[in-house]
Amino acid sequence: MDSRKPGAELALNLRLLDHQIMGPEGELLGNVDNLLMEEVDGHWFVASLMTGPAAAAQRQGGRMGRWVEAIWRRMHPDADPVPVAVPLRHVTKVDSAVHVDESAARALAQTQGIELWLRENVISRLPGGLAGDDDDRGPVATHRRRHPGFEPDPGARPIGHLLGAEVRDSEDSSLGRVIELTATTDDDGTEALGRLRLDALICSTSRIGGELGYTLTPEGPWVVRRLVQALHRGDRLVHVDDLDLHAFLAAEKPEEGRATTRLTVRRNAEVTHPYDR
Amino acid sequence: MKKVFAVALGILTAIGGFVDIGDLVTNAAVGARFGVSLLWVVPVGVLGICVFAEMSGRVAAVSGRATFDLIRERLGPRMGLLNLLASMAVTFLTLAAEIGGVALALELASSVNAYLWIPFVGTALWIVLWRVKFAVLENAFGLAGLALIVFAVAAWQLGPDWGELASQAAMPSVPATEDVAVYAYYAVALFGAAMTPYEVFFFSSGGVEEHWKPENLKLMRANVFIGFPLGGMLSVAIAVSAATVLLPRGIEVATLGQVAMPVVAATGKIGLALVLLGFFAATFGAACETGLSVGYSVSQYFGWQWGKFVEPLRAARFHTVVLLSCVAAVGLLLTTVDPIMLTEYSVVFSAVALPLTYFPILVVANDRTYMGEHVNGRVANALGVVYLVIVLVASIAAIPLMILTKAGQ
Repeated sequence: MDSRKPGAELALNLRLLDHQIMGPEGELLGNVDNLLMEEVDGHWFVASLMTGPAAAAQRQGGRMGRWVEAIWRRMHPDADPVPVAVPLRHVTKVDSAVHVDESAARALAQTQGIELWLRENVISRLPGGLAGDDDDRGPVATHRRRHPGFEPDPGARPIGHLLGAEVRDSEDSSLGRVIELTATTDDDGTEALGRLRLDALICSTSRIGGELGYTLTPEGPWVVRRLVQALHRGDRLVHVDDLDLHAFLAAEKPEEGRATTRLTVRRNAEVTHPYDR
Repeated sequence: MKKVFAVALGILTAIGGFVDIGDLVTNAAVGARFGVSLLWVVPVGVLGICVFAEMSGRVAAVSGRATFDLIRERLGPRMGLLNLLASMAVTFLTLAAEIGGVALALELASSVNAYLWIPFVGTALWIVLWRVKFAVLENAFGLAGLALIVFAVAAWQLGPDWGELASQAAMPSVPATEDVAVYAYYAVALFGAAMTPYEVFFFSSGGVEEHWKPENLKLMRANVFIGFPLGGMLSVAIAVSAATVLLPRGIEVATLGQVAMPVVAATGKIGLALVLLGFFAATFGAACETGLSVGYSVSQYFGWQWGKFVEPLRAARFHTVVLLSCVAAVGLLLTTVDPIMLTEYSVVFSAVALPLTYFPILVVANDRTYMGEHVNGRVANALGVVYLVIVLVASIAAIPLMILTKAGQ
C-alpha cells in the first residue's frame, strides 16, 4: 500500500486498527488497540495510535473493559498510570504492519509492563534465557521508563467512541452503526506518513463482516463477495462535514468506551452506498 | 545441489511431519471398524489441508503476517478473542493428546507405565521448545517420522487383495453392521484429523520464523503439494493395514499398541522398532508444533513479540505461554484421562473449530492491497470456496453427530 501518496484513502478500521506495530529492527511491539483523534481548525485528524491493555479495555467498553482497566490500574507501578500513545509523526510506513521509528519503538518497549516483569522475574532466571538465534540486535529493554512524549493529549478523543455509534438521518430513522472510518492522507511534507484527515464514516445495519475488507471495494471469491454484499447492501457513507462530530464527542465520556449518544446527519446531506462514492 | 537438497529436505520433513497422534489413532480405528469404506475422506482432507496451508503460507511469505494476526484484523477484537479461545482450547487438547501419545509410545518400548512417563515427556518437550533451534526441531522430528513408512511396507507385505480393496474404496458404502450416523461421525473425525487448525498456525508462523519471502513460494508449494499428499499416503497405509489385520479379527482400536499390531504381524521385530521410533517422532514433533502454536496464536492476537528467531528474553510473554501450556497439558493428562480418548475428541473438535481460522485466511488471500500479484487465482478460489462449504458442513455436523452416536459408540 502506498500510503505516502497525498490524497490516498485509508480505511482506519481495516488498515490501522488491530494491526501489528513493528519497530525499525522488525521487533513486534503490540497491536494498534485504539486511535486518538483531535480537532484542528474544524477538521478531525488521527493524532496517535494507542496500544496495551488500557487502550484495548477502553475500546472494548462494557463490564469486561472496566474490569481489564481496573486490573491494569491496580497492577501498574505508577500511582496514576497513563496509557501509551504514539503520535502519528512517529509512524514511518503502513503496510501489513504499522511501522514506527526508533524513538517510538524504544518508548513502546520500555512501557510493556507484563513483558518487562516476566523478563526480569521469570525468563532471565531460566538457564539459557539469553541465548538465541539473533546476535546482531541492540540491548534488550528490562526496565520500565516513563516517556512523557508518548502519552495521550488531553484534548484527543478515542476513535472507539465513533465506531459502533448509532447514526440517524434528519428524519430520525436509523442508518445503522458506524463500522468504518475513512481518512485521507494530507501530506504537508514534514512527516513520512503525512497527516490523516478524517473524511467519512460508513454505517451499516449488519453486524457481521464489517472488517473483512469488503466495505469499500468488492473483492474476493464470488460467493463470499455476493454474501457480504447482500448483508451490507444497506451500508451508507456519510461525510464528516454532514455531522456534528464536535458536539457528539464532547458529550461522550472517555471512560465509557462505547457511544452513549447518537449522531444525526444534517438535512440535505448526500448519503450514498460506499461503492457509489 | 544445495537447492535440490533444500527441496528434498522440505518434502521429506513434510511427509514425516504430516502424521500425528490424531492421524495414527483415527486412521487405525476407522480401518479396523469400517475397512476401506471411509478411505475417501483422507484425500478430501489432504487436499483441504494443502489448499489451506498454501494460502496461509503465501500470505505469510508475502505480507509477513501469520494466521492469528489476520484473524484479529479481519474479525475485530471481540470475535477474534472468541476465536482465539476456541482455537486454543482445541490446540491445547491436541497438545495434551500428543504428549500422551509420546508417553504411550515410550510405554510400548519400555513397559514402564505411561503416566510415569508423562511428567518426563512434558519436561523434555519444554526443554526442546526452550533451547532447540527452530530449523533443527522441524527437520529432526520430520525426518525421524519417516520411519512410519513401515506402515506402507506392512500393507504391502500383508498382501491384501488390492483389486478388491480398490473397488471397495472407490465405491464406498456404509457397512451393514454400522449405523449411518456413526459412519458420518467417523467421516468428520477423519477429516478433522487430516485438517487440524494447529497445522496452519504452525505452518504460517514457521514461514515467518524462517523469514520466507515471495521468492520462497515455489519451495513452499513443493513442500505442500508433494509432501502433504505423500504424508497422506501414510495415513492410507495405516488404515489399510488395520483393515487387513484388525477388521477380520474384530479388534477395535483402543490403545496405541493395537495401532502398531498390523506392522508387527507383517514385519516382525525390525518393524516394531521402526514403528516405535515413528510413533515417538511423529507425536513428539507434533507436540512441539502444538506447544509452539499455542504461544504463537496468543502472542499474535495481542501483538506480542513471538518466535524462536529472537532470543527468549525478547519474547518473554511468548515463552511464558509456551511453558504454562506444557505444564497445564501434563496436569490434564495426570488426571488419568485416557490419551486415546483425548485424541478422538481433539480431532472432532478440530473439525468444529476449522471454519474460524479457514474463513479469514481465504478472505485475506484475496486482498489485493496485501497480496498484490500473489492474490488468489481462479483455481485457488474455486477450491477455496468448495472447501469453505465442506469445512462448514463438517463443523456444523460434528457436535450433533457426536451426541447422536455417543461419540461413535
